[in-house]
Amino acid sequence: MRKEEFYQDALPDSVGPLTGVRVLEATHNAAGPFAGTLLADLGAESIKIDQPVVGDVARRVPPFVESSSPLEASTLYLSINRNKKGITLNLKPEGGKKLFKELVKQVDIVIENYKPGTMEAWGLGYQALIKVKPDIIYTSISGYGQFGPNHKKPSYDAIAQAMGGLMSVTGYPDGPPLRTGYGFGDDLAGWQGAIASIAALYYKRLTGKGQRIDISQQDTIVYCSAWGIMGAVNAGHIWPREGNTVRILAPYNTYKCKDDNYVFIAVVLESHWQKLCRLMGREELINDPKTNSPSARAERGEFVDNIVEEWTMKHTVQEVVEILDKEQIVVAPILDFKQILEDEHIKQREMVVEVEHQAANKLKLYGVATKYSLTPARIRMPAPMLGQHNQEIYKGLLGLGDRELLQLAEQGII
Amino acid sequence: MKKEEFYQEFLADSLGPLEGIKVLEATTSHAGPVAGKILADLGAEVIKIEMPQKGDILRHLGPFLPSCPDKLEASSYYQSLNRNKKGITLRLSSPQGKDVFLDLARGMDIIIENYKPGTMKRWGVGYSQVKKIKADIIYVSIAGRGQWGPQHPKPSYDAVGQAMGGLMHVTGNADDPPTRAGYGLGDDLAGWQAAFGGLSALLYRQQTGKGQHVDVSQQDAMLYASEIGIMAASNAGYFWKRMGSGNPVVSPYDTYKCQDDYVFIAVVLDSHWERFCKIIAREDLIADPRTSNPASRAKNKDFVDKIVWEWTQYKTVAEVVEILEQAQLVVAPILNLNQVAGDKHLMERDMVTKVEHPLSGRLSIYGVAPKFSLTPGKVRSPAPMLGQHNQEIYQGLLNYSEEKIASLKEENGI
Repeated sequence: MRKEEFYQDALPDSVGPLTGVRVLEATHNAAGPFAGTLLADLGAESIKIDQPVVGDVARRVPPFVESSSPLEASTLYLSINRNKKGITLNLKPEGGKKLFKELVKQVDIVIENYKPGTMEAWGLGYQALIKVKPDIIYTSISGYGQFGPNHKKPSYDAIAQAMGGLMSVTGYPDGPPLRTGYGFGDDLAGWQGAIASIAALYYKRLTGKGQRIDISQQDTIVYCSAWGIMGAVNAGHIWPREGNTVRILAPYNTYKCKDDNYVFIAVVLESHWQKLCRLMGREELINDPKTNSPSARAERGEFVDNIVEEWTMKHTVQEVVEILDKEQIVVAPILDFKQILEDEHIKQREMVVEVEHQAANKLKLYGVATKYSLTPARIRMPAPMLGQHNQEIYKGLLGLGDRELLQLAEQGII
Repeated sequence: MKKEEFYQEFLADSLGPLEGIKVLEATTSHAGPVAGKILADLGAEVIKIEMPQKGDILRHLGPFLPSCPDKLEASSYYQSLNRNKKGITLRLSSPQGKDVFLDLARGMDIIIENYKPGTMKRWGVGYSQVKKIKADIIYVSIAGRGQWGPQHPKPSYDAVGQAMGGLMHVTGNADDPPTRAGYGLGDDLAGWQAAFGGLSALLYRQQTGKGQHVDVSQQDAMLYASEIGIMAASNAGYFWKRMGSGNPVVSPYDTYKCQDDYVFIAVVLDSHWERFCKIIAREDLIADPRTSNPASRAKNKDFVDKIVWEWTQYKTVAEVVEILEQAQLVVAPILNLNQVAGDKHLMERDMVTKVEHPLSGRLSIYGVAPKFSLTPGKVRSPAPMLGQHNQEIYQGLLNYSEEKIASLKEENGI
């Protein structure tokens, strides 16, 4: 299909399918902001609350881009908070709590990722908020969730990867357990929060009823464990670290090439194995009982991998990809970020896009993953500068006057 | 918070917030089924179509349940990803199969498919064809590189998404080859994007009456998780490389070897560092310029890691966890899937739950990750046996006559 064909019905002024949905974020770091970003990327209006003066802790995480303001330079903050509006608000003083409640009245969804009990201690928990907005959807994200024996423990991304089984299966048999490079302990919890919020909003629009949503980073990682739990309990399979392969398949691994780079080759279907054998000049393996079925190959994974690598070592990555692509065998180079920036397919899919930032100029960042034929979503603005939308939200949305705003600023509330 | 408090107002007979939504799945393998799983787990009625006789390819991949007498129903992988769904058989590539699919599509809200781009259209059941008989259908397609763009016809599996989306490049130790995440996140993330895509399009339809085509690419979905990757490379001159379980901005933040196994320790705040130094009897490092603030600790990561390891190496993981938890520091053992399956916290959160299978008896399986206070989702049924719901769907839902069903059996092989 061509791109134009896919977008033939697209609404030119669309911001995404969630247009009209309003979200209030009391979030910081990564997991909470991800939930808000996903909704904002799909067209919701997301208002993110920053601590006055200091802002989100992510603003101080390197690497930094050149910027006229040090608080507006973190690649982490700038990458993951695009498409949001930003206001400052101190949630601890009475005046801050009052403003928060005023904001809650205006939104569909509240997302927060403080340690369980913190929002309650501030008088801004779910029970307090349903008094001012009975049908609010209140989504909490934390390391271990709002209840259960471990719920009070602090957490970061890697803790969820460690406690959800992911680290135990990532890495090599003779190496340590490994964290995945991307922060899936945060990412996935954020996304689970976003999905759950949309589902609850759908329910609310049918029934008029809001509810509370509790997301745990650990639960979320476990939710991605494929056969993990059933395999361990019911199939006697203790999932080991297997490097880059899954030993239910072979060839399914990274293979070293002549240029010292690696390529991933995945053969699942018999027809693909036969084609690969011919390409490698090893036709005898097609009928060899050691390799003539998926289970036979999986049983002798190392043997199969050695044969494949013998062949890949005679070629560069590019050659291997070209040869196997032509035969429609599943193959991929391992792209680094230089290659990602230059990749023509990625460009056309608008997964590397540019946004103009007041303090940091033109910035590149990832686009919106899901493509909608009618209501395309896009990066419409950069991450907000600290308090950038105070005027718009406090005056425009809440109807406060200039004098009140000035007072709030003097009191350190905004 | 106590579990009972969270669920104080829950609806006892709720299936989840998406109850009443009808989803048709023409999916195989991992990415498509995960999308359906998420919607089914939140309460949607999902009907999964499988090839007669052979079924989903996951049925042929292990680990297998030794307790199950029927090999086609014994894959723990298949069982884990397809719970909460109804299953029917139908050969889509035949003209009769196409007609039946269109009959089914008339009663659906969302269709999810993950065949190679162009396949569904060739069979007469692509978006434009379904739209003619069901104008407001939400049609979600999942593919390795999406429905358009220069590489869209290429086949893909999980690892290709991981390799082409930058993840493998940043996972692994510095001297390891690029490393695959142990869980199939290249598939999972695409499934999640598809579930978001379908759901947010549904919310849009609820407001406007309009359906659309949603296009999800595994590579796009992986790039959507790439955090700083693109901006750091293009705007900060920082090319993200793999660095084991650590990261460039925080230290200590890594796995550390103990007497018996590895533990993950994360010290981010200065107050935590001070407490940690006291515990390991290195108060001298609190004010030492090499370690006195987050930036200096990150810069001297090797030095910091060595100090931490000098302390952990004489202790067991259990001892380290106990000591650091008592001081409210962030620490985690690296749980394997056996430990995950036995974790008391996860059990209390219904993340390790059980489902009764007619052939295999009680199976352990992960629960539903997001917790809803009003409309909880749950694992209500095991993965369908091949064609288990043919009668219910063909006769009950489509009102096909006995004759028609007999002809489907004969000509289509259902």
